[in-house]
Amino acid sequence: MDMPLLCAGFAALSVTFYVLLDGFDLGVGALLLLQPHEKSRDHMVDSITPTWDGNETWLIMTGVTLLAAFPIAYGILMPALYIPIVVMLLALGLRGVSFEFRSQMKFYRRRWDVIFAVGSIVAACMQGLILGALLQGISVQGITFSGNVLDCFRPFSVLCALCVLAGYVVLGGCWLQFKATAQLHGFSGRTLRLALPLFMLFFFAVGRMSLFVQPGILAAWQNHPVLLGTLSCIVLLAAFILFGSIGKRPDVRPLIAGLVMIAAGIGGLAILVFPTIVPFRISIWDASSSRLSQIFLLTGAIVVTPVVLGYSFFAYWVFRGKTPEKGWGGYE
Amino acid sequence: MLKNLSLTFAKIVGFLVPSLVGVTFFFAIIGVFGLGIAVAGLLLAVIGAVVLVRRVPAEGDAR
Amino acid sequence: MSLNPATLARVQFAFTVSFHIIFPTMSIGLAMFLAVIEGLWLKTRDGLYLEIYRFWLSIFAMGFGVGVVTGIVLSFEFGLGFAKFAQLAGPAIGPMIALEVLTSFFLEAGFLGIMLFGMHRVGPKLHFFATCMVALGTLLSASWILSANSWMQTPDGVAVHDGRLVVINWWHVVNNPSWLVRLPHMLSAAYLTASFLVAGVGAWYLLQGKHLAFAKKSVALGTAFATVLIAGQVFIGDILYGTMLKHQPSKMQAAEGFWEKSASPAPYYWVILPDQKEQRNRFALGVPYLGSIWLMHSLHGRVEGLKSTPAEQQPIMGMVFYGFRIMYGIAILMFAVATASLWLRWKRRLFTTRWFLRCLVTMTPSGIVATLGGWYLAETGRQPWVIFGMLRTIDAVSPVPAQTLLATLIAFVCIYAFFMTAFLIFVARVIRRGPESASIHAEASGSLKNALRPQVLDRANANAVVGR
Repeated sequence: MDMPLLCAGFAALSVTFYVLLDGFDLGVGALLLLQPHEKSRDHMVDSITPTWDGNETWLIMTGVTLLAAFPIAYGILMPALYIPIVVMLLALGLRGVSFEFRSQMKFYRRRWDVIFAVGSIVAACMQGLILGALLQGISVQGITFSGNVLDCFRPFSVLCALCVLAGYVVLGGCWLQFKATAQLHGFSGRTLRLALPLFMLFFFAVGRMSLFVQPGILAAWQNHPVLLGTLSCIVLLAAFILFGSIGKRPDVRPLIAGLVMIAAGIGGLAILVFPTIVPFRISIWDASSSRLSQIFLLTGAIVVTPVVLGYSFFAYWVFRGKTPEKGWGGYE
Repeated sequence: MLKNLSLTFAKIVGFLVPSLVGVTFFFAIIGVFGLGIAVAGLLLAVIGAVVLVRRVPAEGDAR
Repeated sequence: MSLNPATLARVQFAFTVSFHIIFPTMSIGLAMFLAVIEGLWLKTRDGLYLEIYRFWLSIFAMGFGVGVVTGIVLSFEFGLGFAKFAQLAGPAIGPMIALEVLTSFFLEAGFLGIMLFGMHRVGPKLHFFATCMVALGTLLSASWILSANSWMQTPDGVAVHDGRLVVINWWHVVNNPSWLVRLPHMLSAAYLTASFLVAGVGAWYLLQGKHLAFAKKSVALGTAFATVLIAGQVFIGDILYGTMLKHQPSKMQAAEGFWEKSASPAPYYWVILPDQKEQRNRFALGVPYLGSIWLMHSLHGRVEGLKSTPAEQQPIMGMVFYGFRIMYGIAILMFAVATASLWLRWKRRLFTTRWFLRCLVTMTPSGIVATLGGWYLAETGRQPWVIFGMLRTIDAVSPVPAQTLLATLIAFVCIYAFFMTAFLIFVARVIRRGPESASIHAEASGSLKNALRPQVLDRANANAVVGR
């Protein structure tokens, strides 16, 4: 059995869960800056409060899977992406603690909201930057990163940062369409009508520019034209359905379309870089750890992941429907 | 004056007795007298503490 | 401080991990304490226990949040600062940490919500189950990560092929020579930390004459747990000493402060001024005979000196020695306080002896300081190795320039200082407000807050469904 392949599959699954789940969390956080009414901001944060913790855990899962199954890649990518990763971690940290502190310190809630929003935006941009740097290519010599820590700050990466931010804002808007009532519902609709075309613009720009900055991507298109073409069509189709369903019933349709759109995008990215893990540089087999390590990891993953998904799904199910405008307060 | 003396004596005893007992137990538990005594000392200390905590209310109006 | 990337990487890791360990130590201890308290409440239906539960729940939730956030940083920092270590050790510690995420992080995230908000919504028994699950999650988390760190201290179960590590026997990797001794030691440290936190707050209220019932119960419970735990802890500590003497002799040699093999009988040093370059102490102050008695368990034993280890394999004596003394010194203080508490309890003067209450207040953070001391002993004592006997720390550093490391170090210090300030302000507020006003559902921590709430969000519906 091809252990590296299975581990790569688990890593891809983990990063997909993270992007889809924390995507709308970060998107909602980013939108806080555009929302002038405090009550609506509370409503927005309330909509993501029940489930953000588990969502972020998938990020740790992705990093640790890399360490366990592809330590060579882990040891190359971490120093290569040092600055964006540290900035992202600090931004996520600020966002994370502001969930708690903002509800405890009602006086300073406005300031915590700004911290929350800025943390979300910076984290999203850093993730896009990381994506861009990965696609453009990391300098590697043997199994060591051989480039400069500032390499990741190039025009293509910056474009990717904007693209990912826009994508998360789209997901955030979709989530609010699904969960919000009254004024907020209208707000999210208006935001989506702006954000979605913007995202599509960035998406195409990134796609086009990637062909120039990374010959490996051009080669991937030539090798898998049908697969990549289909995925691109799915992205376009989902975007159209999304746009058409803004403000209409059922409220969940924009979200589903949005999730499908992003998932298809991730699928495309996976095909573009396959079978390398340090994109276009080192294959999954060359970056792998020992066989017993991968078996141990996969066994644990196969047994425990269904349980985790089980109660995560249940959590979302318990909170089905609209977020109450009064929030989750109960017995005061 | 004798009363003062007996009070002071009581205070000294109140300090010395727990100190000596404590130090002995400490030395025993960290194995100065060997592993067997260490285990015995540990068990004695823990059981003694548990018994004391359960049996004796910490003050007159216990809650 | 030199602008040397290796030094900066080490300082950065040391800072972030020292900051981090404060919070899980409190979380592990408080989670277990909360489980015990809730169990006592269910058994006795005494409202005081519920009051205690709610009071500490909000502090627990805040600390847990900071712990999570600073922990995420560490999982990436292995690679950020020490990429070569990550590449080599990944096959061994990676899967262990992955299983920590899978089995305990997700478990904690899942049940923390009910624990914080489900009190009136899922029924007392299920709520208690949730508290126990969170306590279990913290325990599992400690087990896995301690196994990984112990593997770095006493590696086993692996072989090196072509410069890469290959796992030969998973049981030997996980159950390495020091894991099962270090685990109870760390768990006891966490439980002791919680005991002294609880007792200290109670003593503070007693001294102020406020919240008397809560305060008395807190002091009683805290000192009772501390007494039982500290006895076990020094016992395990001695066993651990023997284990590390066997597997990491250089660490224990540095820990005792002797350069040359000591004379017989040996003193026990409390203060030294070591000079690593000249391999001698410029000044040393100790208690005569005690070294032989404590360390060699005989009146004439001789203690090994650090010069028994070749100079390029020696840890820095000053850090190891003082880490150990701080930890051990506090342990002795804890033992003394525990003994005093038993005596005062017997004399029925536990709540009225003011000097003792002041001691308890001073000892409130003692568990945290002792734990930090112990970890400094553990980690600086393992140097110059990052994987003992296999990989040196300076050979494990990432190819990142010094200026970048310095910039991120400064960023971490600033932002972590912010977290700590906010946390301390919050805890001070909770303590000042006192137990009666602890909110019914701690609003802290935005995790699965109302997860598994059987009622639906609509208030009207809720009343209809529940009909309580």
